[in-house]
Amino acid sequence: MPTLITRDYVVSKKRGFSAGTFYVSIIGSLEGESNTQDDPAMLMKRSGKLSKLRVYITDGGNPSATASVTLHKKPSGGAWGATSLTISNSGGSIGLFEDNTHEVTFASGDLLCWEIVSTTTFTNGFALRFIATRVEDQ
Amino acid sequence: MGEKVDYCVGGIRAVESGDSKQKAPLQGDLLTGADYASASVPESRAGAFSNLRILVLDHDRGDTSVRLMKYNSGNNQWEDTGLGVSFDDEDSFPQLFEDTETEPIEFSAGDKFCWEIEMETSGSTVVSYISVQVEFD
Repeated sequence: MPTLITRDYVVSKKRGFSAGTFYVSIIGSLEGESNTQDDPAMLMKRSGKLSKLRVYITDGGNPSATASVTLHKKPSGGAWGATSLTISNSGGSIGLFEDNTHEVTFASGDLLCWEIVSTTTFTNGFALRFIATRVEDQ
Repeated sequence: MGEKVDYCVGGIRAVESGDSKQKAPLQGDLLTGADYASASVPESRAGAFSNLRILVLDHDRGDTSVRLMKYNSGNNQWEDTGLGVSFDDEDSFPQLFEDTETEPIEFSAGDKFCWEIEMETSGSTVVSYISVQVEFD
């Protein structure tokens, strides 16, 4: 089987999120979101791993707000669950947030999506521009 | 020869002249705003960019340029890489514009790039996608 090329998956758009839990695709546009993981889930056709999470936050919401971006995975025949690939935000901080520590493996048939959780009290108070991650086959 | 892929940023978007120098990332959704930082995803590995392609659906007046910009951490400035296209209202639309002549723009892991779309006169430009070839080291 040919080797896939190690590359970046990026999902991006200028937009904000209000308080709640939202799920978005791992590639393409951040426009639109779902309250369930299944809607934006991407079916992986090869096994591999994701690493080097990079998230650009332009508004962290009010100073007491917290937020996180976490990769969710559903193994074939299994249930959705959070993975270790994640960044956290608090205190209204902004800028580039990275997780260069964790790696998440996936198998053919697994589903993947990003979970965005925000406690901001402002409408669309938690604002993102992109979520990027490195993908490589194994 | 290294491994090659195309990076593509898409989504039909109108760039208005009031949106001075809009920036876009190299992948994902097309336009993000006027600041460089929020459009620049740090690259995770080294390589080179070449063969720019941009599909412009409509353009009503004046000159517009699309340039690949790179962040120079040495002087904290964003610099034009030379990879880019320009067009004006004498061109026909829709049209695919390409830059296949500029030498590949090399980069290292951690380098930051974004697209800059600059309109020199009032009007609007409707872009469908911007694509560039990436050859990894």
